[in-house]
This record gives sequence, structure tokens and C-alpha cells, in this order.
Amino acid sequence: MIKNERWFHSPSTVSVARAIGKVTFSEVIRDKILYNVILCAFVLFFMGFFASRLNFLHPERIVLDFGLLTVNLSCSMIAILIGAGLIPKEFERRTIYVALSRPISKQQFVFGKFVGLMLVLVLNWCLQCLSYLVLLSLSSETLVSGFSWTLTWALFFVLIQSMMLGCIAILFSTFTTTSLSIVFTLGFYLIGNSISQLRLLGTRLQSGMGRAVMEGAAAVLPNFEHFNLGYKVTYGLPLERSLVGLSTLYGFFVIALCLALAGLLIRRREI
Amino acid sequence: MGTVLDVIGVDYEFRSGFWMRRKKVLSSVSLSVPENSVFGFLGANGAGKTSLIHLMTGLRKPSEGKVLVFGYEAQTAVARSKVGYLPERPYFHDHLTAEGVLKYYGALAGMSRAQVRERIPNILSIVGMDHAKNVELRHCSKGMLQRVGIAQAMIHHPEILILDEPMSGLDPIGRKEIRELIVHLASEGRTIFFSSHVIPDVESICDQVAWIQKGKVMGCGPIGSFLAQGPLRTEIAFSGPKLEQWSQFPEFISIRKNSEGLRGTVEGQVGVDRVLFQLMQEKAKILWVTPIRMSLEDLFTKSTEQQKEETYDKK
Repeated sequence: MIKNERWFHSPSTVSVARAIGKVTFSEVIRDKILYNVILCAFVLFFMGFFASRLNFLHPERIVLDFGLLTVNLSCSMIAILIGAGLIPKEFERRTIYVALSRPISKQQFVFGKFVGLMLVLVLNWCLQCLSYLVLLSLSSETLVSGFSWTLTWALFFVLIQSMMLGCIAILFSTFTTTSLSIVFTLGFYLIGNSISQLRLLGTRLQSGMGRAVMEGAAAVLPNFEHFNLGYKVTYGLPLERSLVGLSTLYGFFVIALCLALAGLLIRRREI
Repeated sequence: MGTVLDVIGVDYEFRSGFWMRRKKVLSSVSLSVPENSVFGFLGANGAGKTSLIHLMTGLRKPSEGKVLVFGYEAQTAVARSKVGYLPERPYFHDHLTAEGVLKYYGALAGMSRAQVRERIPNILSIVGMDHAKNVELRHCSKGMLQRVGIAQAMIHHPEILILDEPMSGLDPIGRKEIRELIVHLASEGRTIFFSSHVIPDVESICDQVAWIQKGKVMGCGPIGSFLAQGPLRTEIAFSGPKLEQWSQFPEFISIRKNSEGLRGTVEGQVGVDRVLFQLMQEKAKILWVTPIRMSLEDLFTKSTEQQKEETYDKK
């Protein structure tokens, strides 16, 4: 007769997230999309570096600005392109069936996938930051003059923003296809980086209804402008502590909200 | 004997198509799986086998009725911790090794790392995969994947194993190996529920059987009760002198020659007694006496044909 050793307790969210996160991470680092985006980032880095060589006045500003943009684009694209495919891939390949037959909830599963994506984003972010700093040091004297706390926070904000985008992509992917999730998240990314333009458009509209819609959209859509410190980094402007704290809190709030919504939506999704 | 899994008056429907129309897949399904039994679940493709299995594993919720695992609703965590599930096409993350898969699903079942580490060598040797524990699944054959699938289903010592078409897509040797593995697991006292559309697979290893057709359970119970149905016929093969006279013997409902002598079919116990008595009188050499029972296949085919006729009559 078999020994009836039993594990009646449900696994904790931490252990589920660890297990799913690890498998997701090891799966994503084999994904060709990741390497294509990283390769594009390196090409952009070097383009910025060579462009700075052509400038006599402030070459460090070009490296700073171009480099930060590259880190931002690379992290955001990885978050969107990989995040949008994580859940649908599980359904397509039916790997979710066995996972959900275990005593775990769908919300825990989504959280685990997010943890895996987060690990990939952190790894890519570290790699990009390192390349960025190496490039800054290669442009003579620029590492000293260019490196500042503003730059450190700007890089940190890039990471937060990419996590937010990853969460939004996961949220969309719980109820639509991978391609539509990518399109929607890209839309959010573009609009979220132009919230002030949206507000400006609202003030210029004649119709009250149109104005209300624009203002409502500006209030509801995630505002990525809070995380865009490119201007301040380029010109070495100081950063208020309150902005850092509030932006970080805002970022974590959006992440939590998106994960909660994704959990709610996937609960209703038919397997 | 108690039951470990009860399906009580279950209806299941899902929405499909552009207009999300409801489609009924299961209708008033009821069955019970006794403890320590090997339960075969038969049905043609599209009959509703996988849908019912998804309800049993808590992946889906019935529209009506209840599915209970040890008295707990199948969707609860307690019920799911008692079930080991092998899906029809056991797709796993193919970058993982057999060991990696077991670690993953063990953790999801709530086992600690130490418990998983201790269990892996044992479970891999049961399914005969200990030699390939570090092979990535993308390099594994279908039979090996099936074994890994069964191993992950058993990693957390479930009290019932639910296997969805465990022998599908395997070659004859693979089928035989999986059949033997199921028999071995059952001999250790596990309750095994498995679906198949291949009747001989079910017939050879199950002690309980149910079959489903167009979402309705057509029959359910011990396999013997189905096999005992229909008239008892016996095949008697013999050789000896004066073979020609036997073709006229009234007890034989059919008779034919073979290389060793004659093979005749007799109906009923009385007929068998008479023929055997006569053969012994004539000093014939009896080669074999084999009862011919109605096979599950016959029953299944008969039931399918009956349903087709009923549908035709209604039209």
C-alpha cells in the first residue's frame, strides 16, 4: 500500500511565485525576442556614442540623453513584447492546465508570471545600465561630469516604468490575444508619455464633453511622465525628494492595481 | 468500499463562437469512482471525456451539479491536493529537464524543497526515467514525456490519479509500458481514473468502467457486469478421427477446419456439456475450450448504433 504522506496545506504565495518565477525566467532568457531587443539596444548605444564624437560642444549630453533613451526603450520593449505573451503562451501550450490542477489560485499564477518577468527586466536593466556606464566612462571625462543622483534615479525610474508596462501587458493578455495586448500596451506607453499634451489638448478643445474626456483620460491612464527624467539628466538639474518618493509610490500602486485586475479577469477566464 | 470521487448530476456548458452561444457538453452525468479501483472512462473523440476530467481536477466549474473528491468540492485546494492529473497532451516547459519539471510541480503542490528532493529519485525510478532525469524535455520521445507526465502527477502522493488518454499517440511498445505502469501503480493501492477511446486498453486493466456518449453516461459499473452481458458462447477446438461427422452435430452453431482439426462454437452451458461428453466418447483430442464473452467493444458499438438509430427515428 502507498504511504499516505499528505500535504493538505496550500502552498504559500511566496513559494508559488518563486517556483513559477524561476521557470518563467529560465524560459524567457531563451527567447529570441529578448536577444533581438538587447542587440538593438547595443546598436543604439554605439550610434549615440559615435554621434557624440561628431559634436564639439557637449558630447557628453548626447551620450547621456541617447544612452538613457536606449535603456528606456530596451527595458520597455522587453516588458511589452515578453509580458504580453506570458499568459497566452501558457494557454496555447496548455502548460497552465497542470499548474492550475495543483492547489494554487489563478491570481497566484499571474503573480508568479509577473515575478519571472520582473527578474528578466532586472537582469536586462543591470546589463543596460552597465553598458551605459561603460559608454559614459569611454567618453572621456563624461562619467564624472555626467554621473549624478539624478541619473541614478532616472535609471531606477526606467526599471519601475518597465515593470508597470509589463503588468499592463499581462493585464491585457488575460482577456485578449498577444498581438492585441502588445498594441494596447504600446498605446498606453505612447499616451502615458504624453499626458501633459493630452491635458493641453483638453484645454484647447471647444466642446465641454471633449474636454472632460481628455481630462478623464489624463487622470485614469498611467502617467509615465513621472518617470521621465531625461531633461533633468541631460542638463544635470537637481531632483526633489518628494518627486522621487511620490513617483515610486505611484509606480507601485499601478503595478498592484494591474496585478489585482489581471487576477480578477483571469479568474473569470474559461480554460 | 468507499468512493473517492463522486460526480453528481453534472451539466456543463461553455460559450463559443462570435455570439458566445452556450453549448452543452455534459448532461446529467453521474458516476462514482470506488477506492483503490482502476476506473476506465470510455468515449469517442468529442464525447465529453476531457470536459468531465477538467471538472474533476477543478479546472472548470460545473454549470449544474457537483463534483466531489473525498467529499470536498473539486475546485477547493484540499480536493486538488489529493488529485494527480496528467492532461491529454502533456506539454510541459520543454526547456526543463525531467527533474526540473518535478521540482516545479512539487513546489506548486505545496511540497518543501527537501520533500521534493527526497521524492524525485524514487518517482523517477517508478516511471523508469531515472536514466534521463537531466535530459531536456525537448529532446524526449513521446513515451518519455508521458512518463514524466505520470511522474509529475504522482510527485505529491495524490490519493487519486486522473490520466487523460495516457496511451494516446504511443506505439504498441509504449502503450504496453504505460499499461504496465498503470497496473503497477494500482497494485500499490492507488485509485486510478483514466480516459481512453481505445477499448482493449480499458478492457485489459480496468476493474470499473463507464462510457460516455454525446455528453451522457451510457453505462457505469464493474467491468465484469458488462462483460457478463449477452449470450454465453464457447469455442471448442479438437482433433481426432472421423472429423467429417461433427459438422452435422446440432449443438454447433458454427464450425470450421483449421490446420490441427476443427473449431466449433457452441451456445449455452448445456451445449458445452453435450459436445464435450460426445467428444470424450469418441476419444477425440480436445485442443482448447474458450468461453467467448461479449467484449466492451461489442457493447460500445452496439450502444453507439442504438443511439444513432434513435436519433434517426426522432428525425
